[in-house]
Order: sequence, then structure tokens, then C-alpha cells
Amino acid sequence: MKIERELMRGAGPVAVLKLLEPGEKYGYELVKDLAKRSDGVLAMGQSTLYPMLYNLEAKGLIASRLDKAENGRPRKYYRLTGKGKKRLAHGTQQWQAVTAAMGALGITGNLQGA
Amino acid sequence: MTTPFRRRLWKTPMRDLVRGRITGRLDIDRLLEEASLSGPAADKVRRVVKRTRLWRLEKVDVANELIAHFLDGQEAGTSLDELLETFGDEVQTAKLIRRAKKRQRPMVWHAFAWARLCFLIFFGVYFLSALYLMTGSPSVTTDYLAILNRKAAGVPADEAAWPIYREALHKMGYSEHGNDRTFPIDTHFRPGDEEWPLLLAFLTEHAGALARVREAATRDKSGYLVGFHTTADDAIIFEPWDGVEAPYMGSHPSLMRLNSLGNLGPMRLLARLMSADCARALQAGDGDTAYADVMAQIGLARHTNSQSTLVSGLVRISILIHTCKTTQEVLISRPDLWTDEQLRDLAHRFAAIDITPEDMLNGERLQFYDLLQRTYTDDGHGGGRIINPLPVNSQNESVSMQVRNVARIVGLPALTAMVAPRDEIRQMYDGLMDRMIIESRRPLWIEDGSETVDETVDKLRGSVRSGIRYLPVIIFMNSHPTVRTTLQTEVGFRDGVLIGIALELYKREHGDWPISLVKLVPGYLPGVPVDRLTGEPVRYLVTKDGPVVYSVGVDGDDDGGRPPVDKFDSDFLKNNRASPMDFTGEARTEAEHDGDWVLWPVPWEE
Repeated sequence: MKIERELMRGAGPVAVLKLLEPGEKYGYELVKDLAKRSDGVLAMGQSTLYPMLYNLEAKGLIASRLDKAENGRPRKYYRLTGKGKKRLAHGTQQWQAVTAAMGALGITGNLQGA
Repeated sequence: MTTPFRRRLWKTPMRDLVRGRITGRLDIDRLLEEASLSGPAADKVRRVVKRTRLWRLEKVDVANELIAHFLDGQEAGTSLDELLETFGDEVQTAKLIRRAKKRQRPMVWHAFAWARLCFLIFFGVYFLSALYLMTGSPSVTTDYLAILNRKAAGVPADEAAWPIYREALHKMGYSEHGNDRTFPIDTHFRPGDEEWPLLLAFLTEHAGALARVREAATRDKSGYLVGFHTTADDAIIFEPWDGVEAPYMGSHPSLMRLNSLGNLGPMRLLARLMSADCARALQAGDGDTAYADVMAQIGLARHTNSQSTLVSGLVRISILIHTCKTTQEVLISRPDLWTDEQLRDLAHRFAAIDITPEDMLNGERLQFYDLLQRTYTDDGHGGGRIINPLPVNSQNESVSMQVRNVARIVGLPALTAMVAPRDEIRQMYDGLMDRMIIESRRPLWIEDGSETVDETVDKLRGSVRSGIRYLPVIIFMNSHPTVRTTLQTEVGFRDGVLIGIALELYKREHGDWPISLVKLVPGYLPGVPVDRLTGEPVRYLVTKDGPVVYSVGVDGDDDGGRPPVDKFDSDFLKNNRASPMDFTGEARTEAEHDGDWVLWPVPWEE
């Protein structure tokens, strides 16, 4: 299922920050993980991912470093910054509140329990 | 593949070059070749990167990232087709990447970008404002020239003095072409001068014309019309004006060009001729002609200022002071040439000279109003914005209309924002002029402690904001502070002659000079004239050479009737030393001020 752009605009950055929480990742790795862990709901192409990464970097939420991959190719790795961790915590809380509210309305998971 | 040296050099960032390294790391084609990315993917990367229109180093960064993405995807087992399909829209990608990358640029760049944006917005708004402001135009509705000429225009031709003066000037060979005046003889010569016989011959040859001048001087009004265009009658002495009115100036001629007031030069010339003729008559022992010549000078002075402007007022004063000198020459050297009756009559004529500040300022006020109607729009209620800061009268102006229009576009919004609107400018000007007239009537010894107009104008000029806001007022008021001291000086010289005449009459009756000026009252004078600088009666003493009447002068102390001893190069000051006009001279030392302002007999200098 492809979600609306506006919704993706809110969810995407928090999702990327969440994926970087365990440790640094490179671009394609993030694309794969997003698609896999969200069952394709939050899948995004290069056209969406890289501008988003640059924006998060400009805001100081993530940092990057250039390194060589195993095969010797240059590759850029992204990691969460302290500011990014705070934003992730804040974003997580907000999404939980939204999810709970949507559940209370019978839109998300609580629908089954209702 | 070996990259040609020049290509590597061109693709090396400046920072590497400065460090002495030719890296060629800006070469995206080389990056794609080294990555061995397949054709469609390489083309996509190349197109997206190009479309970002980023800095070269930023483009390299983006290219590396996209190349790595494709290679990582292929290594992970994703097909190239799938990677290309999930890439997204190229144009949108380039746009988003550009926007995001720009956010990462340094603060200095952002500051510059904002400054540039602000400047462009300001420039745009300014330019649009200029276009809007240029849609207005001055509304020239009042013919101030007609108002200025109102008195002169009402004089019937057969009662006017000017046509006779003009005819006499023409007969004597006067002509004017632009700023060049032609007259056959120098009128400054006096008996004793080597060139005097030339002037004497000229005066004799033109005795008829001079008689006509004397006749004209007795007439009540001049009837001279000032203006741009030389009238057909005046063309016999003045070169016709060949200028063309600028089309937007309306049908009314501008007063901005009236500084020269065409008749002033000829009137001064005629007065000097009368003075020279008086010297001739004096030499010939012809008292009646000498008397008529002095009376003619008084008439010429009166006719000079029919338009009540500052410059014509100053010329009138100049002629009157010269008349005082001519009168003195007769009374000192040959008083016997004039009868008692002539002396009394002359005294009455001098005493009747009406000297008011309005005579010098009313015309100035009209000129300022005319300036306003040509430089401001008119909202119908007295208000309006400045629209034409460079009013012109003809296409002969040195500054072309194109230059003026460019200047207007550039300057109008700023001027409109900074220069006061029409009603405020007029209110300020009228207020200052009303105060100046009151101030100019007040004798110099009476100061009420309030701020003078000169001080107010200095204050306006001293502040950048008010200096620009009231600039037209400041420019116009600049020359006016001299009115008060000029008028007081004229009155002083006039009083000197009146006392001189009274002394002569007293001596004829009593055989000797009076011991005090009080003796002249009331038989010869209505009262003892006051010192124009102190308000006290003028000082008087009798020396072996005769009586001396004087004011204590600008230094305020009595130097026994001794005039300042220093000589000055300035023509303006040499006969007005220590007088009220001396206040307006250049800064001088106390020693230079030392001395009295002698009123009778005045130590005239040529």
C-alpha cells in the first residue's frame, strides 16, 4: 500500500531516525530496511530518501561520514546525533499519541479489541 | 583511461590547487567510469546531478551518493531495472536535492542570499514606486508672473516711465545680448580722471536723452514688465529670448528664471549717468541741473523695485546710497548751488522714501510659490508630493530631459519619503517669511530674545533629517537674513543726508554750525535720528573741517567719528564698514571692527 505524500512527509523522518537508532547505516541499507520493516508501506526511492537525509543533516539531527565499503568503493554512512535522539524521542511520543487516538476512534489496532 | 591534464586541472577544486594538488575530483564522468555503472543508471545520475544546479563540489557529493546507491542495490541482488523504476521522478529528485543541499550551505552564504533577496525586493518596490510616482505631474494653475507684474501691468503706457528710459538707453547706444551688455562709455569717471573728458563729451552729446530720463523719473510708476520673453518694444535694447517653454510647464511662464530681472542693469546704468551728469553740472556751476539729476536718481531707485524682489530691492538700495553720495558731493563742495527751497524739497523726497521688508520679500514669496506648483503635485487641498525636483523652463537647459527623467526615477521615491509634502513646506516657508518681515522691521538694538529666522534655518540645516525635509525652504531662505541689516544701513545713510541738509540750512540761517543736533529740531528735522545700531541719538561733533555725524558702529564704542582704518578688498564692505551690513561680512578681527560708522560726511571710496 502506498501512503499519501503528506502523511509520508510526517512519518518518513521519524522512521529514518528510528532506523538509525541502533547504529550508522548507508543510503541503500536504509531503503531496504524501511521497505522490509514497514512491509513496503514506508518504502521510498532515492528521490525521497536522499533529500530527506540532507535535510535531516542540515538540521543537525543526523551526521554523515565518508568511508570505504568492503569492496573499496566510497560510501556515505549516516548516524544519529544527540539532537536527533531527542527529536526521535519526541517524534515517537507524538506518533504513539496519534496512534492511541486513532485507536480510540477505531481507526488503528484497537479496532480488533473493540 | 588517462584523463588529459587540462581536463584534470579544470576539474580540480581551487582548494586542492592552492595545496598544490591536481586531483580532478570534480570530474563526474570520471567517477561514473570508475564505478563501471551501467549506461542507463549512469545517464540518470548524470542528468539528476546536472539538474540540481548545485556547486561543483556538492554535485560530486550527490553523484557519489547516487552511484553508491545503485551499486549497493546491485550488490544486494536488486536488478538495475527495479532500481531505476523505484528511483522516482528525476526532475523532482533534482529539485528536492538542490533545496536540501542549499540548506547545508554556510551561514555566510545564507546571509548573502537573504541580503540579495532583500535588495531585489527593495529594488523592485522602489522601481514600482518610482513608476507610480511618475504618474503624477505638477499642476501649474497660477500665473505668478502675472501677479508679480500686476502693479506694472496696470500702468497706462503714456504714464509709464520705462518706455522713456528704454528710448533714452537706445539713443545712447545701450544693448544687451545674453549676459553681454554694450554701452559706449564707462560711467565711473569723475572730474580729475584722465578719461573724464570722454564722459563729459558723451554727456553733452546726449543731453536730450538725459533730459528724457529726468522727465521719466518724475513719473509715478515704471510700468516695466518682468518675464521670460522680451516684448517687441523692449527688443530695441534687449536680445529677444529664443528659449522654448518645456511642454509640461503649462501655459504659465516660470519665475525661476527671473534672477536677472532685465531692467536692473539699465536702471543702475542710468543712475550712474545721472550721478556723472550731476558732477558735470557741479563743475559747470549749474545747480538746477545737479538738483534735477539727484531727483532723477531718487526716481530711478523708486522705479527699480516695482516687482518687490530681493535682488531688485538690493539694486534700489544701491542706487539710493549712491544718490546720498551724489548729494553729499554737492553739499560739501558747492552748497551754494542749491536754494533753501531746493534743499527742503530734497529733504522731503529723501524722508518720503518708504523702506519696508515687504518691498524685498513679497516677490520672493511669489517665486517660492511658483517653485512649489512646478515641483509638487496638487491634491486640491494644499497638499501634494514632490514630483519634479528639477523644474526647467526651456529646452535650452544644460541637463537633458532624458537625464532628468532618469534622475527622477532614481530619486523620486527617496525624495517623496524624505522631503516634506507641499502643504508642510509652504507652511514652514510662510511661517519663516512672516517672522522675517517682523524681524526685519525691528531695529537692531531691540532683541526680544526669541530665536531669529537665521537661527531657525541654521537649526534646520544642522539636522540631516530636517535639512533634507525642508531643503527647498533652506535653499530659498539662505539669502534672506541680510534684509534686516541692509534696510537698517539704508536708513542710516538716508538719515545722514537728511542731517547734512538740515545742517546746511541751519548754517545759512545762523551763520555757523549748531552746537548740538537738538538745535535742528523741530525747524530742520522732526527729531534727532537714532543710531541704527544702538537706538541712541546719533553722535555729533564739529571739527575744523566741519560737522561730523556718526553712529558708534558695530563695535559699539565711540571712536570720536573715526571710520575703520583698514582697507578692504571687498567692494561690498568698503563703503559700509562698521555699518549694520558689516555684520554680514566675513569673519573679522576686533581690530578690523574698530571705528565708527560715519554718516555725514561719509568718507566715500570709489
